[in-house]
Amino acid sequence: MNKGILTVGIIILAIFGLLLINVISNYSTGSELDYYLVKETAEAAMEDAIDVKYYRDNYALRIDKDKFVESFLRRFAESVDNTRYYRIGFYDLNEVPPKVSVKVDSATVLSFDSQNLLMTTTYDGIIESIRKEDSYVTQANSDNSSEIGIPVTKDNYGY
Amino acid sequence: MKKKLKIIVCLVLITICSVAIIQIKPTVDALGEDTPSVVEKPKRSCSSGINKELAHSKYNPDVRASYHSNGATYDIKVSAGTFDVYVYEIEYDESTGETWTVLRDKFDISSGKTKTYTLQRGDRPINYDLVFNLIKSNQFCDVDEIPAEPKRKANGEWTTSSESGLGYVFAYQVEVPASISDPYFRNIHYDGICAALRNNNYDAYSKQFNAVGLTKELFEQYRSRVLEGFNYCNNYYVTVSYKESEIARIIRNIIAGIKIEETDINGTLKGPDSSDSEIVSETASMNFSMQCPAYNGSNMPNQASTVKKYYKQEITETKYDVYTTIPGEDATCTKTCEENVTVTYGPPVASKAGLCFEYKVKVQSELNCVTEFDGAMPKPEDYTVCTPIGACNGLVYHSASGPSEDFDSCVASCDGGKYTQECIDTCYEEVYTEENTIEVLPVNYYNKLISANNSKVVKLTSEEERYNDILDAKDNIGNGKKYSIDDLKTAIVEASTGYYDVSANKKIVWIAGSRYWEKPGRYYTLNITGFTVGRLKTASDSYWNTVWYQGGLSIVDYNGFLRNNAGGTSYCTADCAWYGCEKAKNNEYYQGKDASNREFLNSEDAVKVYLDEFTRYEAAAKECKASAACTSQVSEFTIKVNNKTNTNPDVDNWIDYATSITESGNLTATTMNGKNLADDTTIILDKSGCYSYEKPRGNATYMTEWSFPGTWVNNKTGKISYEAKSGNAWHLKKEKFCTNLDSKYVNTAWWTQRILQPNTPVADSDKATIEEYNIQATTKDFGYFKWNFNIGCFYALYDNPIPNTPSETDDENAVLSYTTRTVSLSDIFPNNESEDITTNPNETGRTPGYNWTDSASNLKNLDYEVTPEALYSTIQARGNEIYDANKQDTYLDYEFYLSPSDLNTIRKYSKEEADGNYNKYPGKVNVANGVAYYESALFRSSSTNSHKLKSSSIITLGALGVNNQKRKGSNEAETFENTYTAILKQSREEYLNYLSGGKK
Repeated sequence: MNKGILTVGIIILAIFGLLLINVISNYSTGSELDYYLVKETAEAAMEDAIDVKYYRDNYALRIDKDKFVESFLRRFAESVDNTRYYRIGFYDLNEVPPKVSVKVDSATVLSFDSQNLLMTTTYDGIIESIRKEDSYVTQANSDNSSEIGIPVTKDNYGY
Repeated sequence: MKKKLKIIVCLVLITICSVAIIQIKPTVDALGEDTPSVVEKPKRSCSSGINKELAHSKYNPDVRASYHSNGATYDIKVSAGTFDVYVYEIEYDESTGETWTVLRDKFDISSGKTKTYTLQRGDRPINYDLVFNLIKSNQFCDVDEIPAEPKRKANGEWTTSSESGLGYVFAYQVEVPASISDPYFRNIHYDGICAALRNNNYDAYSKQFNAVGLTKELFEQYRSRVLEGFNYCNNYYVTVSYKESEIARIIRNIIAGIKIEETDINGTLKGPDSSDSEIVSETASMNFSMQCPAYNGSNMPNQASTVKKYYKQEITETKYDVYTTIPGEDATCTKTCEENVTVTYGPPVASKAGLCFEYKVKVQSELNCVTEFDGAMPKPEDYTVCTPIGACNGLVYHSASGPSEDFDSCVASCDGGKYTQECIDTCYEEVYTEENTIEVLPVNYYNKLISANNSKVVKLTSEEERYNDILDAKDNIGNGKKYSIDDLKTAIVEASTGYYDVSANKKIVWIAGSRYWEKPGRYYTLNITGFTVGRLKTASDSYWNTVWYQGGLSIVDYNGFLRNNAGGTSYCTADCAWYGCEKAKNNEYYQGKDASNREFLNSEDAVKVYLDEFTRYEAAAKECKASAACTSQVSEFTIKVNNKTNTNPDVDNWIDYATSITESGNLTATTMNGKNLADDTTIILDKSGCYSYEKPRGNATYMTEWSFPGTWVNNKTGKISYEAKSGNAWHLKKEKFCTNLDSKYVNTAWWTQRILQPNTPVADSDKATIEEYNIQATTKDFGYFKWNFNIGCFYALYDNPIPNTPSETDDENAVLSYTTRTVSLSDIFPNNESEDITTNPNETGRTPGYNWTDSASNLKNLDYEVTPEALYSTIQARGNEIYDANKQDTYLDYEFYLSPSDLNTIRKYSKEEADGNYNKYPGKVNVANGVAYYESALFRSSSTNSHKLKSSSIITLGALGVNNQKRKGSNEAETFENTYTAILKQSREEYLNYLSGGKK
């Protein structure tokens, strides 16, 4: 093997090695990192989605589903790079009291089938009152003459 | 001696003869009893004749007349002598021309005394002759005997007689005008606007009625009643002349008067509503302050509104100057008003930071007034027209015996008129010898016009001549048509510019009109024919003939009197004046409170004063009665809250709203801390009675309920604004005051008792001290008596104690008191707070936060049920099953496939649509199932711009306005139930059924 061929072979091997390293790197992003990303994103999105006006009307904590999802997507997009495909699913969302379940599947851009994602992270969270009792709200809820919890109408919002 | 004796005898004889001669000589120079004569003249018997001119100048009889409603009063006096005065009424028969006398009275009069004598007025003019008959000697002659009663000759002369001849007599002719009655003339509107009134034909004169503001509806409603009170339109002959426009105005006025009377609010006073009412004296301050009680009568924290009652009564008098014909104020509005006021204000409010509450105050009053307006309503018939009657008086006849003109001329030729005794004797011999008879010489010294030549008296041969004059006048008016006498009289009255007036010395004068037929006084015109109420007699006409105006044979003097021509340039010089109409003349229009019986000299005056006075009456009456109903002032209302925050806990943060209700019921712009809200919202929730646009009839009520105008809440963020916000981004929580999320706790002790022990009586010693009355509502100038109320109350703000938690003032999360937790779906609350209890995967471990307990359940909105415990029981039961793809993603709500380009799209959306702010949501807010929700613009927008995720990336979207989606792709909500929620739901349904039944 002449020297030239050897040199070419080394270069090719190097390129292949780099490619391999890159591929391995894409798959080597640890699940730890993905979980915390999803967790923090979901918790932040939950807080973003808290419906203060609902609180003023009902004395209760509510998250708005669309707000939560939008906020999650925006925060998530800001936090990840463009090297992967993601499937994001929101399961069994409950607005009052707030409860979310998020499942994020991801795949490297080197995947030949973007629908066949390889990594999965789930997060389940709630928003919980610090207080264990709230006599004020309990009274209001049990008082049928109270305006708490009365359905709002479009007229209330000027529609 | 004999010669001496002869001389003595002769002297005696001469003396005797002289005495004899002296005794039989007539005396010419009669010495007056009281007045010594400068020139001593021989006195003689009156029967032997006297110088009449001289005698009359010395006796100087004087009769001064004054006229009044009862007749005429004469002041009679003479300068010398004593007379019997005979009062003869002169009767005259027009048909036969026969005249005779009737003695009505007799009295004596002597010099130095004035006799006041009254002749009563009759139903026709009465003429009297006052005949003076000398009965006592005076400076001219000695009355031989009491003369006989005077006699009237056929020619109207008076004479007296005695056995020895005629005495001295003169007559004074007087006229007592007939009773004053109004001359009538035809009502030219009888077939015109009056017919429209009688026949209910508004349209025929709609222009005239519209001009005075009289609608057809009112006209037709009250027409018959107008006719009852306005006889003018029922009568063909009238005494007052109205113009068409004036009749329309009068009709309108009468209707207005009826309506005023109909709105009479006289009633009875009711007294205080309740024995609890606080009686407020007339002089008391009208400022009242009150505070909502923190505890009720059972010592429990007060949860009910408080009612306070007040009562006040006041009497006021308002004077009005209604009648211009009466000096000063002549009508009084006496008003006794009582007002019962009820103030209702809410109990203290317990709230939480960020929540909203309302506080209402309601003040209502009932006004009851008894009004008495003593002004009499002017009525057209009360403004009568009086036409003065013309009357002339004068000394018209003298008849006397006494020295003849021959005797006088004899004396004049003898001694130049000095009446020396020698000449008297000589002339007496010459004149009064037996062959000369004593002759009565009826001489009128004062009015040659009446010197018995009746041919000189001016009279028309017939009334037709006069009519023709008037016809000419009518033609001159421009009508060019021949009219009846009635028409002509009416036309003249209508068109006349002449009028009666009262001079400075209180004499009625006629101000002539500009046209020749208006030169004589109206009295002439109105007494042409048919309706003769009196006749004007001139001094030249002793036979009571009507004297008409006739061209050059008479003239009209400056005062409207016709004076007959006596030949050449001589005209009647009698003293003529307009009499009667004393009230009009003396401005005695109105006596006491009797509005009737006012007299005016002219129709124009009457109607003008009537219209003017009615206008004043109407204004006064309306004001009197209107003011008894509703006052006309602006009432002010405020409500404010002091919402201190934790950021500035020691700084007051008053949110102060104010508005006013104007007299017309309008609201002024509501201000917030002095700045217009720039919105149509207001703090006035309700208003009625005098504060409404339609004022109540009769007794007035006032009611205003006010509260906060509301708080504007941002649809997406929940932020609040006390200033008005427009657009779809905000919505108004009406009547609510939403506290700041950062609100400072206040009145916490009371809050704790109210919320934690709402039904537990609080011992007096344990009652909370109210730190701040941080709600204040006021009203100023409320109701009739301008009440000022200042109501103080408070809201208490606190929360259930949170053990072992840090300060809640750090951020909003702390205020809302929540935390986010990562949970296991199979055991959401695994760590029991009690160490003795181990985790049970099938049961809840630690105590859940409040919002995950049954206590937080809310089933008032059955389309959006909140059932926390039932929910998490289900969640735990399902566990991670929700992720199981084999379950066909039943619980999958949203699903996205994001490529790197999608990530770029999202970043772009976040940057350009939301400005990189995660709290900014570019989508929109909508409402469904009784809840407002957000629609994301990122994945729901119908637009296809580069900021929206492409549809291929959006696999699944959740249902909106649904608390928990039942299954993938479904819009239904999944419900969760446990024992507690079942009971709660049943209770709710029962409540709704109750409401439904209640409505039925």
